[in-house]
Amino acid sequence: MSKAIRILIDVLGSYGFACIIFIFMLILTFLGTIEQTSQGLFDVQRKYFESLFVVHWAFDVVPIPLPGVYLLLVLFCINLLIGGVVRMRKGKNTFGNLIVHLGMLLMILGGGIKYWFAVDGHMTLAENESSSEFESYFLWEITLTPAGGEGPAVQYIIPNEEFAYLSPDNAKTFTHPQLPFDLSIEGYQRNAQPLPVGPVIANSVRAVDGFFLQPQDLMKEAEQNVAGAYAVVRPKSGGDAQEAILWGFQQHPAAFAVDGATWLVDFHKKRWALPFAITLDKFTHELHPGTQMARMFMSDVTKTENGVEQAIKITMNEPLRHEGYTFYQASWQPADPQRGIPVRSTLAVVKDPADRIPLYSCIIVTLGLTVHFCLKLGKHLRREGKRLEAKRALA
Amino acid sequence: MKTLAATLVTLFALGGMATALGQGAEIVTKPAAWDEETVDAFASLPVQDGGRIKPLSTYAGFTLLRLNGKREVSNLDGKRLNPTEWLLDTLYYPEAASHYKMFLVQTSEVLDAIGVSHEGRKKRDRYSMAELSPGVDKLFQLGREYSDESKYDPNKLTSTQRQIINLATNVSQFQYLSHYLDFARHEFTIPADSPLAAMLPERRYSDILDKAVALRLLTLALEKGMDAVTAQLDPAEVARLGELLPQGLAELDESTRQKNLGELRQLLHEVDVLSSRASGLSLFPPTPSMGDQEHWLAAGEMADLAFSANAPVEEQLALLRSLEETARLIDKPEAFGAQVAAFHDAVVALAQSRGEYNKIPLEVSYYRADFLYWSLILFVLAFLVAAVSWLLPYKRVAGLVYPLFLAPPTLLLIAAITYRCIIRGRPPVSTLYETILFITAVIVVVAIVMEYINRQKIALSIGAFLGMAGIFLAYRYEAKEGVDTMPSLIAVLDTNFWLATHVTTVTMGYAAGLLAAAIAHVYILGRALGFRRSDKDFYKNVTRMTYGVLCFGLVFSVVGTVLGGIWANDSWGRFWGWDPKENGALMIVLWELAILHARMGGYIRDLGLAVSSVFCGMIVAFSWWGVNLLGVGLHSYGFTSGIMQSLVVFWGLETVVMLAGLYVWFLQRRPAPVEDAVPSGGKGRTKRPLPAKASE
Repeated sequence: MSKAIRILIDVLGSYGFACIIFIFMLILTFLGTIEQTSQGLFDVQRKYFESLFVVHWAFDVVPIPLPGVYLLLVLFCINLLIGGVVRMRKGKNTFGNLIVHLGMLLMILGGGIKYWFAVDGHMTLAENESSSEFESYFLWEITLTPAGGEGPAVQYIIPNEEFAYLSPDNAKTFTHPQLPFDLSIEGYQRNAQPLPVGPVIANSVRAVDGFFLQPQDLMKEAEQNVAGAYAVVRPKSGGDAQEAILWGFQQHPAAFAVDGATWLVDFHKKRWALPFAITLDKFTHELHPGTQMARMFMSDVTKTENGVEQAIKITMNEPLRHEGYTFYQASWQPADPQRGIPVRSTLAVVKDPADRIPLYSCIIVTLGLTVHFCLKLGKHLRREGKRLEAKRALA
Repeated sequence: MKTLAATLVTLFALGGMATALGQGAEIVTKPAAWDEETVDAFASLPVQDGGRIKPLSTYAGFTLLRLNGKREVSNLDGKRLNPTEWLLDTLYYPEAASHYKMFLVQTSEVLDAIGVSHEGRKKRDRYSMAELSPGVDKLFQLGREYSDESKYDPNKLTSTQRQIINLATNVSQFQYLSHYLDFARHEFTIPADSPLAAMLPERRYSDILDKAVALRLLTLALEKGMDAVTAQLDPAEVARLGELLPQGLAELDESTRQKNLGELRQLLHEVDVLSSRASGLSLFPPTPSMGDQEHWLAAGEMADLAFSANAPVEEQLALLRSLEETARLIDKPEAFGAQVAAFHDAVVALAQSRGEYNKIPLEVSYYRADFLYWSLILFVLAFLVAAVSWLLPYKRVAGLVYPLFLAPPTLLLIAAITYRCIIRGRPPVSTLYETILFITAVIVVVAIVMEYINRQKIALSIGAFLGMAGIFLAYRYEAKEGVDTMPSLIAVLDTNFWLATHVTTVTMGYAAGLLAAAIAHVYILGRALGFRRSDKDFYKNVTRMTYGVLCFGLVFSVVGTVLGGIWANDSWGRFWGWDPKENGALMIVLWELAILHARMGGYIRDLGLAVSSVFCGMIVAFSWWGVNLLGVGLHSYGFTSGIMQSLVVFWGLETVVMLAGLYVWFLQRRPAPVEDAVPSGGKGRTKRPLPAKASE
């Protein structure tokens, strides 16, 4: 092993490196906490906690480059593995620490699995309504489906990451050998609202069928943003380009006639199919008497899988876990009688392969810390006993 | 805020209640001292408030605390009234109570804004309802305006605007209480020739509610004719019409009908107004005939029940009559006392039958015993003993006796926490207020254990000081918030398992972080001020204690934080969400890890450990209190406000202590000229500077 590599390993596994990581993580955690007062959690999380590097603007004036928490956690794993497991002196005195370090590694591994592989969203149901899919809080997708025809149709999906980074001035064209057209996504806005074009602004906005996309300020709660864009379909056969507005809250997909066939382009939150269906039988929402303070939310649901029904109660702190999916009682929406909307219950749905890892790692870390603390305390008590004895003897 | 706005609008709509209350009004009757039995009966009367059943004394205590900043007020004779006595005066002698100086106005700018004179008064002073009356309309107008979130961002209100909202809320609450028994005092006047006179031989509020069905039918008969009445009823009820309604209604000429209708509407309007006023206290448990209803009724809600419900209301009206009778007997002390006892017994029996009275006597005795007050006094005493002990040698017997002074206040504090656990049926910590008590208790218990191990009087002194400071903080926080410290919990907190595990452990982590910081103060300030300059053992001991407590804190902070993640995973579907409260706990863990790793790596020694521990205390303060001020995140049940200034002062003082640590570091690095004891070549002694031996 060359000297340079040895030095690198020494540094990466050192106490000093661990301290630097802890301090940077502390600073980033603090900055990310304070910034939540002005920005929503979603953006703060991406900026500080899921990034390799971040530039923090102190007082909105001074740029301070910092490593992101994602990078720090990778470095911390390396540090922990080298310094806290492999090179650590093994013995009675360090036994507890070793367990703690292994537990921490497991915990970070669980976090990594969740970050890379977990999907989460929600299922919002009114009473007697069923669903076998759930949708994302933040991610959008564009689907292209041929209209009409018999039998199952092939659906083409453009996922969020393919267009969500676009700025309003950029465009991106999507093509596929099986599609008779190219689709361009232009003027993408993270939060927008389609408005009718009035005579005053007719020449200054991009109008489609008498409407244009009005950019809106980003909401602090990112899930409240409603994205929108202009879709331009250019037939490969050379016909005229066709335009439509895509908007997250649109009730119906945009339709394009290409080479005699109709194609539907839909823009909605990303959806995941479930291997079973959930029916909301009853939603209970109790308040503490005489107050507006929630005492209990509960959804009585029926899970139907392969024709077998099972009645289940989902309440705060008591989720439903089944086949790797977990359903939590997240919130509810009051009825809107004027619009004919009944009370709805929102179940957060998570598929997280690392769901129980935090619990196991917590048990391991607790065990390790307890062992280490007890060993240290015993040593300290023996030393103090001797010191007091010596003091008495001197007296 | 919206609730406040609604309350203020309602109150305003009641029609000049404030101004009627006596701008310069004569004090008609001075209340006599209440006898002990009456006060006890009222104190232990159950009332539903904030979603739970509590003693009226608790309700009165927190209401007075919110209004007056303390749980007592002086009456017109200068006698100090406890909360129950104050509430009795307010209910039964509202005119007199309106002259008690019970509204704490934090700054006279509030009075300037509402046009009330404060000449010759202190900037922060207490005012009576009568003194505030000229500005009450303006106060409500401003209160409504500042509470309107479409006009004013609640986070950007000025201090004066917030105080105006608070004062408006307090005045409104007092008015609701002082007018509560108006229904019992009110005399309904009905002309002798009116058909109502025959229907209502007795004209108390409860008598009118008793005839609610008949009055409803009479209104219909006078408005639309007898046919409209009979069309609504089944044949059996039609047959009873003769008993319910006066005779000859069908033959009334138009002018008489209009006159009677006017009298009836006036009567019903008066009932409406009185019912609106009597909505501040939910004193009446639902009777068995009301099924599984949980909501207790205020006197004013009886009218809705009587006029609209088909359910029988006789049992409820019997209770209402009982309370009504107390107001009518106010000038006959003996009869009044007996009537209060009868009302108390009836309500208690009903509450007991519903299983809602069991904890009431315990709660009454909890507040009556005032454990925290006595604990504070004894902590002060223990601190004085600790201070004196520094002047005396640490003899073996004395060393055993000193820590005993910490035992009584600690036991009282633990007793208070235990009482609260039993009353609430919850683990020790479920509110921000309870974190203060629990953290204080943990700190003092750990300090006592350390003192027995260490016998240096350091832990003893720090334990007494922090015990004193903790209870003082609890008092201050309780007075600032002015709300029940045993509130109902929101749905997500309704889990004793997680409250007992996550909340308790993470709070113990806070306690340890603060205790380590406090011990570190001894090191830094001692070294900076030259205390026991040559006693290296003393400082080594302080360092060992700091280190030990930090390790203890790390165990609980890590476990508590991870348990919080597991709870969040069960409740919200994610282990970690970078929520401010979670981040605060993580910051403590990260800093403690940084300290311990830096210590193990030799990057910091004794002084470094001490300075870092002081900084750890600042992080704990941020996590414990600071993040609650941000007003964002899922831990909304812990949000608070109005403590930023105190936090900044705390952080400022701690920064000064850390700078003192820097000063000590410079002192250590400065080469000190010392006399060389070694003879140099037999030619006398020479002076040469020695490099300072870094003891850290």
